[in-house]
Amino acid sequence: MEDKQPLNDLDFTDVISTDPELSQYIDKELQLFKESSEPLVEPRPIFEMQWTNRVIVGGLPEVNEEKAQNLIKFLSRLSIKSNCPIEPSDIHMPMSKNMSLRFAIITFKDEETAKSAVTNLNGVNLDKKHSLTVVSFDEFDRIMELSDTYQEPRIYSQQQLKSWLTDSLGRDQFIIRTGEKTQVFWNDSLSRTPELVSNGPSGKVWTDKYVAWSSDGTYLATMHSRGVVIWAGPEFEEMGKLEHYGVGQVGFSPCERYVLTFSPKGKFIVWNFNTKEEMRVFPAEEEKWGTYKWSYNGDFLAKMAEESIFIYQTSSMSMLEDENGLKRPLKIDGLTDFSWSPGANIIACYIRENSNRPAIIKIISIPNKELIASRNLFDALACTFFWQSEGEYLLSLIRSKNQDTHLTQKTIFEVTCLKIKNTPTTSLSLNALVVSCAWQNGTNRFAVVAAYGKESHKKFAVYEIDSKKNIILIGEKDTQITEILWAPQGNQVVLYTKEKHKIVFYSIGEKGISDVEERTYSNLNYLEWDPSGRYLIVARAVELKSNQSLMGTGYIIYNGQGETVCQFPMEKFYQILWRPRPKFILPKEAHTKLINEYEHLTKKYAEQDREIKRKSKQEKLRKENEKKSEFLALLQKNREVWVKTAEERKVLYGRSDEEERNRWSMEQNNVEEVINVTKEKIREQVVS
Amino acid sequence: MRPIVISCHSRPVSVVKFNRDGDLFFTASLDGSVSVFWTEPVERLGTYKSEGAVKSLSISDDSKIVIIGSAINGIFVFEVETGVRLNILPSYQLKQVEFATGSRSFFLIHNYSKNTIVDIIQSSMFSVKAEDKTYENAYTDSTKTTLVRSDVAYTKGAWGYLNKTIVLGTSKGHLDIFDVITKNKINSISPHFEAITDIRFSMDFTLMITASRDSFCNIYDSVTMKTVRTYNAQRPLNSAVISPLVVTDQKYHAVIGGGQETRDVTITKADQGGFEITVFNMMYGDEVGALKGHFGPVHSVDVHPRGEIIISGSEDGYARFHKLDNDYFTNKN
Repeated sequence: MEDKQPLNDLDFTDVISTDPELSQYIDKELQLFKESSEPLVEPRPIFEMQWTNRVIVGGLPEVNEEKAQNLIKFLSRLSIKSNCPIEPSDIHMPMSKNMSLRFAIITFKDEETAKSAVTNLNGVNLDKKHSLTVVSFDEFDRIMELSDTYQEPRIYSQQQLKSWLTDSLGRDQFIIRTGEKTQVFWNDSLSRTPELVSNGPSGKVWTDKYVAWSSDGTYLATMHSRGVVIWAGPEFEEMGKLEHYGVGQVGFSPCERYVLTFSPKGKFIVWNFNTKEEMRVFPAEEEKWGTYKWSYNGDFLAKMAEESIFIYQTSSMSMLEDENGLKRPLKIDGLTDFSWSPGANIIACYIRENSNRPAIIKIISIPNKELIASRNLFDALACTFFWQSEGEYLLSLIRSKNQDTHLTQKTIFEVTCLKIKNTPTTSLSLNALVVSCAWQNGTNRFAVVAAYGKESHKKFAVYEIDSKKNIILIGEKDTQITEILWAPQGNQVVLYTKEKHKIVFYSIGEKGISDVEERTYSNLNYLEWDPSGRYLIVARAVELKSNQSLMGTGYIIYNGQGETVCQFPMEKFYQILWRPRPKFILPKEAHTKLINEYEHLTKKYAEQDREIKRKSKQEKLRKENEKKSEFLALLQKNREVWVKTAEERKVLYGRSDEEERNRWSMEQNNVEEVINVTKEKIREQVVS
Repeated sequence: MRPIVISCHSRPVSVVKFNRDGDLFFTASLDGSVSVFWTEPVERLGTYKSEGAVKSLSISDDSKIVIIGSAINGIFVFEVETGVRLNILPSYQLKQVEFATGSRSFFLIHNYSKNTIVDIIQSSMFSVKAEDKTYENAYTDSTKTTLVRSDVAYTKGAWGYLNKTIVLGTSKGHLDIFDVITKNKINSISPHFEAITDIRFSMDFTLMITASRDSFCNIYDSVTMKTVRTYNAQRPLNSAVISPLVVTDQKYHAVIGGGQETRDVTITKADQGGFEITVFNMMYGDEVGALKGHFGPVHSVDVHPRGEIIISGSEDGYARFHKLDNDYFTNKN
């Protein structure tokens, strides 16, 4: 306001002369302006907010007024000697009843000198009896805020952390993000409604961004603008914070010892999960989330850039050394793609062909960089790796030039069997373009959707690696849908196409592909099997920032046969994830024991299920009866009013209720009208 | 049960209504015409031509007079049987016109600049006697009672029991209940958080239903105005009515219709927009069934006084007549 010309000084007379009606408006404005420019209250006192360049010095001797000045001068000389120059005027020593209170507050020029003062002057002896303690104000606040009684740090036992695995009904958990809510549920197939586990910290919004589970499901990570918060335990209590401004993605290493956080166009940070400390920071200018890949047990972290692989030993976050003992990335000429085995610390690399040599697939063991197997490929255009879930087989899908007809492309499946001596490779060739491919967990089967000839003619096929290490076809079906999703256990597989409507459930057995169940869902964009392979979530989610109030978002849970367990359409549906389970290996004796007891156990569990169903039915019936009686009581009460006021109604309508009812009646008259009469000879009757 | 599709309008159908006896029903449309049909058989009797889009419609108890409220061109009073226009009354931007029980007065809800004005007018004050077919403009400011509200607009209203009160719904989801004689607000509740699109009482005034654009439909105890049931319809609602079968304890159903406005949605299929008419059981709060067929948002639903027929009008310009068959009555729900 001070910069512009004050309103009072402006002259409006000529304006008013042309348009006299404006004078009223101008007067009002001037009045308002006058009122607003007068200060109504005294200006507030301005508080000193700068504390970072100040320190508290304690341990000083108690002195009176005169000696105080000397002490101050002594302190200032001391500090100059330790490279933190201050004037005596910068030292404030509060006094009470003419004696000092044994501490002083020193103001430094800036935060740097204050920090150096803390390091240099802390612990310095003044004389035999007094030594200085110098702390910054932040440290002072922190010490004062500590509670007087000792609180033991909360340690979680493994049992507490993994308590969800011991659910008596064997249910799995999942988390959903809708609007402001984040909720964790049990998937309860008997009651057909998910049971709520947690809504997050009470009274607060758990997160307004995305969430992620750790690889074995033990921890939950929620993302916030300042970083990541980790939650664990049966009640989802806060376990730790990882500060990373602008974090967009978070992932745990397979062993859950390390965490990787990523902010787009920012950086990647590798954290030690136990100590919550940053181990290494990588800048991430153009790189995306999947750049850094963990080895199967988290021992190594690798990324590919410019035909070399940067491999880091995670425990020290230092790069692996080469032959000369220098920390250099593994350089491979022509490297296009690499992939970690999920069963051992082995990488598979694809090296594209050049004029001198054909394309090569190399399988290298880490950290000794020993070449396990190598394979030359002729006429290869591109290659994608698909590892089997235990690392037993590596499927390399090679798109190659078709020598016979240059129109269609050929695909070669090369399966390398790693757990066998000499790592043999077997291959199969198809005159088709593969659209999608996936191994069945833990088995020797994989499924492929390939397009033959014209684009629309697609086939879904399942292959198996037999004991003679040949690729044989188990079953084949025509299909229009392209994406494959195997159940993590069991023989179910689902075919779907994102942004379309159909999902098809198949079951793979010895007879081949069987049991087709089709379902439609509008514009699905997320599917996930639960870790036990019994239930499938099909969902439609929207982006977090989108303003679209898109209808049709929400999720459905199906069981393996395609039956709906429960269905929840909901607005602003952002994310849904099953809670993963750790890989767990049952000892052989326990396995055989279970197989023997199978019949007995199924009976027991069936009885349990029946009991639960019966109870819930009773409960439902009781609730319904309650609602019914409540409602009827209300109607009864209000009807009494109706009955009481019969007279008043008579006045309004002009007739009583009786007359109302008999006011008119409907009659149906059937009128018959003869339009035409015809006689027709049907048969001659001979009268003898 | 096969619905009869009535297509006699060229623009969206805004109101469908049965008369008190149930032998006639009216359909009004934004094309300015109102058609009247016999209920049994479904045969058109005639059409009343008014000017401008018809927003609201009310029939007198004896079915002699129908008043048609057009959006900006005033209120047209017609004689039902002959179709003769008796009167045109002025109004501003009209929202609703509704006869009171006994049809001796009616209220108008209309907007003038930022105010919503509710006028309660004595019907006798304008020459609506069937014999006297004049075009007099017979009401003045002195013959009406007015309630005004400036901060938020009233969208719909309903006469309370015995015409003692008027219940008005606002565009923000509040319900105001006024005493007609003293013009004082006797109660105010906020059951919804978006505009209230319909308020109706059951035939014996024991329950009241409101529909709102926030996708919820509430049932209230009409005496205490407490919400007794809430039903989430998953789509913005435009109209709700309580079935008259509640009075005789045959069924406890309510019928609702709505749908996403075409301008709010970029891509919707007909089965996604929520254009079906839902019948739900008020006692348990669950859906009994849905009548599908409209392909635009449903603007109005009404139930025959005997509870056997449901009519609906929608944005697609069609009105649908559904006669409920025996299965509906024998079913336990």
